[in-house]
Amino acid sequence: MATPADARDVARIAVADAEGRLLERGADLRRCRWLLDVLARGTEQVIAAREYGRDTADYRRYLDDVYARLDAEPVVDELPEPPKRTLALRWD
Amino acid sequence: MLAVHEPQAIAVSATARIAAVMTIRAMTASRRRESKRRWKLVGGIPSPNTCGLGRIAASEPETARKTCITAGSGENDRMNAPRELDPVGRAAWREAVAILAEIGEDADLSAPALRAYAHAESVVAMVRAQWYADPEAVKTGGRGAKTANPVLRELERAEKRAAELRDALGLTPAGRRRIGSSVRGGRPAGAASARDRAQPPRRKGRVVPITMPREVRDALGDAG
Repeated sequence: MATPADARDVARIAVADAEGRLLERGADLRRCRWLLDVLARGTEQVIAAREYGRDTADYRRYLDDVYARLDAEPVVDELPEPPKRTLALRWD
Repeated sequence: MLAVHEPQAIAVSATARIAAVMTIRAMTASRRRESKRRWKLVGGIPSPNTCGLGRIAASEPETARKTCITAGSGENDRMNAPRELDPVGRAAWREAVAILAEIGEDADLSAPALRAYAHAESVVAMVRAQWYADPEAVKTGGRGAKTANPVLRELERAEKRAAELRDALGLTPAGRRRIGSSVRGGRPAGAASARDRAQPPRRKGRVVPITMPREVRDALGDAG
């Protein structure tokens, strides 16, 4: 059973890992900040959706898209559209 | 009920129109006289109208003298004004080419923008002539309805377009500042001159795939 704190920890791990890889690439982290925030939020949402027993396909696809954008040259103007359905993260 | 114009009202309107036209003509003549007087002060310069520099002449006689000479010299031969332009457009073209030469811009590279600007200036002159011919801000329609004179709106639009192009070409001080050109030349503000202040070479990026780490994958349970 994952708690909101667990979800946040996982999101932090995901962001730290992505930051490390981006730095290794020589990318400008300032340019990717917004996308990294999206990554954290998306990761938390997938875990929340699982905990609520909802269909996680949309959220997972969104997260994969964020990873794909991070893997490509991250351009702020070309950020992906977030999914229409969003979960209200009010666990606390 | 249709409004019928009284003969007296029509006569009054015509008189007012004639008076307005006379006033504008008097103002134009006075402006011409003033311009001639200033040119006399500068001394020995050919007629400003031949090189279209009347406006500069009034404010900056020295620049106008240099520009006028440049515009008439062989340097300008490469950038002859297009034939399709009317005299006003050609004067605007020559003036713009002279200013571009003065600020060190290559006018050849800006030929399309110059053509658009010169055309815009001739449109402005054309619409302005229409406005001078009938300077009534408010028109009365067939049923007595008051409407704004469309010529005034067109004039405003044409002047705005010309001003935009003037700005884009750097023919105004603000436009020059925006595009980073200066008549004085020199190194642009903020540009590093010392070697140790120059921007270091960009790091070459390594190809590091950015994928979901195992910990996150486990936490998500590979959902989806």
